Amino acid sequence: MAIIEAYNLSKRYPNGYLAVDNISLRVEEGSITTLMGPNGSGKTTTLNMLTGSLRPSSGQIRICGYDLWGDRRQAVLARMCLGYASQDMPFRGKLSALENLLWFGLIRGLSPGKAKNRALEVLDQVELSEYAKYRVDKLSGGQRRRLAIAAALVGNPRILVLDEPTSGLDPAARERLWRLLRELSRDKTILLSTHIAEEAERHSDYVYIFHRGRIAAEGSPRALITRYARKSSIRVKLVSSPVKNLMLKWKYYRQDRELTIIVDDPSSELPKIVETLLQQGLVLESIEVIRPGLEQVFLEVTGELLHGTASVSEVT
Amino acid sequence: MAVIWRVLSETYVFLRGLFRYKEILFWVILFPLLWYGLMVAIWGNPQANPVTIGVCNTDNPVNNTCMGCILVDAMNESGLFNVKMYKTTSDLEAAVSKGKVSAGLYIPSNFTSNLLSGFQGQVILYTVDTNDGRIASGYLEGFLNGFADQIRSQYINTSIEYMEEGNISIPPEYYNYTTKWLRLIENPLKITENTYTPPLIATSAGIKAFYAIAMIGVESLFVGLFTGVSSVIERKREGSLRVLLSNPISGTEILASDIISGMVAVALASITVFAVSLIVGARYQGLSPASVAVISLLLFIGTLFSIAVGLLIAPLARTPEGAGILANAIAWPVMFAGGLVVPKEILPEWIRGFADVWPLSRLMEDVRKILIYGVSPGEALYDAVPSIIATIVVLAIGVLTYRKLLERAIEA
Repeated sequence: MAIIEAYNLSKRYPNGYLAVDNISLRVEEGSITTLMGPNGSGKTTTLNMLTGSLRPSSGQIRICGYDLWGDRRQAVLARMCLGYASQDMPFRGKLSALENLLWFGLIRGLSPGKAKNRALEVLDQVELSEYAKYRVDKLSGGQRRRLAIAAALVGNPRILVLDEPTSGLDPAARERLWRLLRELSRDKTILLSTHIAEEAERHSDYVYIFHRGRIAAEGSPRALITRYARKSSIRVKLVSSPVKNLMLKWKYYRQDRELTIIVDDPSSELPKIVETLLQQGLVLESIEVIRPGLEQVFLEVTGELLHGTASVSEVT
Repeated sequence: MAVIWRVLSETYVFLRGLFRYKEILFWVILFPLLWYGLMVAIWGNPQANPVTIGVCNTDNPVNNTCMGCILVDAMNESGLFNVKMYKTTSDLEAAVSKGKVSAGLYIPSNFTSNLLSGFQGQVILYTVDTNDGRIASGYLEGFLNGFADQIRSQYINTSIEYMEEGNISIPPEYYNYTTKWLRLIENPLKITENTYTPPLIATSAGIKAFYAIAMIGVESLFVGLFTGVSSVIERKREGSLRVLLSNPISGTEILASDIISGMVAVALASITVFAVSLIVGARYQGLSPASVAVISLLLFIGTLFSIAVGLLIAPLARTPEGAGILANAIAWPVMFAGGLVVPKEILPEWIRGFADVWPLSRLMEDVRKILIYGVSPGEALYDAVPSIIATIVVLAIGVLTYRKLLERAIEA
């Protein structure tokens, strides 16, 4: 059963910029669904529309069966159903973690007593109980992210919407956060955005790949990889930018000093690639073999690399 | 050399940004000019301001001559006084005691007949024992002395005419009359002074009370304006608007939460100022549950009015910094021109008109009336009705403006 449904959603800002262009998506209850794409691809705009803080130019959104942008009653019920943690939650830095959660609890309409109890519960859930009385500006990045999730949980929503929850975290903090999200997904639906393909692949049940305001592909990570990225790739970083027309027999993409070369069998083809590049006078800085994954899927469906903004040229 | 460039780098950035950042331009250029202009407008005119004087003229004319009327006309024409007429002495006394006029003058019914019959014309001067009152009574006494000079000159001319007609020798039966006449010429007016000392305002305790109320008014002005003007823009900047909108809280509820927190801020400030003023010796009149309730209501409405004005001007601000500038640009002049921190009596007439109509100023004046002049809460509340109506109207427009602004934020 779909707990979030969005149909023909578009957002054109008053300055004329079309940030989201006629997308439709469904989020199944109990799933972890990820909106994946590079910065500026329309993920956050979509999340803002799905959480009720940005009015779509067109389209319809239903949350838990209620029309999010409908009449006041429907709008309230839809919003009661979700808890949103933005990328940078507006915590009051000089208040404690508990006080901030109390504030969010009151925003959700809980009484001070209930809000406090609920705040303590969710602090425990996100493993921040011992930091309840710590000022938020004294918490680490990872702790703040977990606190943001706690803030979204205070109202005990059925859906958690998280905008780039792991962005800027070190690997250990990221891993800890994912463990938490996995636990939460037992009784919550989680919709999140990320630009990290590896995370989307490992933890999501369903992925929407965003590209320039549109959904370029969607499906479970396995299905997407099977369909679009059976081959591995070899990423070569060069000391200096290569000349424009490299003579390679493999399909490859280029961005600045980085070449992404698509191969069938990396172990047999790697020596040949290195030899070819050296023959063309290129100095190699690093080589990385990348197994088939969502990053390759993105590359295949969009013709662009997931990270970086420079134009990518393709030569076959 | 590198050190010099490093220390000048900030100056470079500042100068380059001067005409590009409105907030810098405002603080560096407009703000001092604004203040300069305001100060020059208030204090720069060396000509004395008219003093508001209450007059009760009961003089009866004799043979179509009314010396009391001539005196009042002369006062009006002098440009020194803003004369307010009262029908009875009790009305005049009430006006003086409540500070509505700076001094009072009573002209009795026999003023003309006395002057024309060789008796002294008597007047009663009501003065208030405050700086303002003393200045006003000084003006009035000086004017009355000038008026007496005119009468003296007139009588001397009459005497000369009499002598020129050959009546130099004075018959014995006219001796006493002539002597009296000459004494009248010496001092034609008798000024009796009734000094009225209101219970508080003239005292140090009253002045401390005056400024305590002034500071409460200022707090209400600043908190209200900043709350209103930054209600949407500040939230948008810090990101809390998106988070709030994703929660089951309506725009009106967000505004209400802002208004309440603003009110709490003003209430806390008021209690603090009030408590400190008591510690340093301020004294208040008429403190009762009813007066406290009415004063709280007046303060609430005053703050609400400031918030409403903030909401009205909020669409002009594109950044929180711009919102701050707007709020400051209104709050600081209003603080003075609205008679919040300076007695409006010392303001020029045209600015005083502003203080008379700006609802917050009027409401704070009503608070002063209760706490300093001992006016009953009911009377003060009645007096506040126009301000309450004005606040409701401005707030209604402010809320509509807020909704449009919020709608704009939801759209982009």
